[in-house]
Amino acid sequence: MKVCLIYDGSNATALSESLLEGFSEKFRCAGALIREFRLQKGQLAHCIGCFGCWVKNPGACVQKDSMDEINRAYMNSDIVIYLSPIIFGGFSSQIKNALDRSMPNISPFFTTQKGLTLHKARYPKYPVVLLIGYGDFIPAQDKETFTAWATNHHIGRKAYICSSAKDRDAIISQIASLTERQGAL
Amino acid sequence: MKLSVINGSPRGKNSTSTILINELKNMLPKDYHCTIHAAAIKNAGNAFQEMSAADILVFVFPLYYYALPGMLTAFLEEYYAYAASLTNTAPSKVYAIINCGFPEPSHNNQAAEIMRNFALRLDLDWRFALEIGQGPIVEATKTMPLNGFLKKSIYQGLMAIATDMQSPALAAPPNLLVKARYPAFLYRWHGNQNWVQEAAKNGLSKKDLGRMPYYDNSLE
Repeated sequence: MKVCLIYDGSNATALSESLLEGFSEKFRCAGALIREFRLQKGQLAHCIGCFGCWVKNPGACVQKDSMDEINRAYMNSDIVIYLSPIIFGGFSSQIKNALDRSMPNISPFFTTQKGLTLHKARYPKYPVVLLIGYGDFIPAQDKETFTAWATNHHIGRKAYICSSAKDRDAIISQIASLTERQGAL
Repeated sequence: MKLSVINGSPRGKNSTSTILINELKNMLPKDYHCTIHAAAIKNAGNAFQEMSAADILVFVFPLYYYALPGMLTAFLEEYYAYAASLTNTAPSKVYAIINCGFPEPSHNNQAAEIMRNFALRLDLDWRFALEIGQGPIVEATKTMPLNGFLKKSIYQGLMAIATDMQSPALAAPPNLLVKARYPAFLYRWHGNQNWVQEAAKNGLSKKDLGRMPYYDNSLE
């Protein structure tokens, strides 16, 4: 099993570090191959909205930095985990840049699902994507926004919120059981 | 009244956001002093100063991954750090104008909430968001008046913001969800045609658009 971890190196806290350590340990025990991307402030350029990844160089971003490597790892993983502080209910700019620039992995063409428009898949198979938001104090409305954002637009996507040691332990055990199921496939 | 408008589009001057900002500007009373800032963190000192002194803040941006563009996200993080340390600032009214490429304006809901959460965290006076679906129609038909049959609801949405700015502060109204009067199935069809035409300009066929550069590579 292959796991891709994408996390915010500029906003690490004691909680996020212990969370990362906790599920990395579980993955290692399960014999998973882990690919880590610790994103520092300014490391990834932001998406410039040029659509080059759809009509110029289909499937890859035209900006040259570590995003190419991240997208390649993403598409070749069984599980992808994004770990970011929750800021105003969304992800931090470091992690948001990585998400915006994952757009080459989908197709420009529209399709519909349950009455809503979305983009078609580019690849026949995608990883399971888990979005984990953390913070020592997260306002209730930010939590609601985060969960709705992470889960409303993609079927099967999982969102977790970690604001205490108790949340952390619960998330680690949930991810461990998910790993076992994935590993059994 | 002092107004700071933040253009959150990474495409800057060539963006739908710019068109919407210009339309909004034309709706403002003559004595409203309006400055426009790009949401770039480089040399943002001047923008931050004007924003913190403004009576009204308007954030105009495209939807990226169902939220704010990473560029605007970084800008807000920096502005929050700047503004949270200020004291004695009157709470400015805050609006957001969000456009997405999907026909359904509701895709913008969480981006609107993020703007609200940002405003409330700074104790600002959050008003409402104008959430626009089928955003690309605005640019594709920019020579046609916004007040015409096709885009009237967008025009009225901007008008609602301009009117609210001049009204006494009441409870924040709900967000406004609008789109051009054009059937979603036709819009999707045009959208799909557009990608094929854009690709052809780059010497690519429709089949090329489906390339899978990362398929079946080992993770190492």
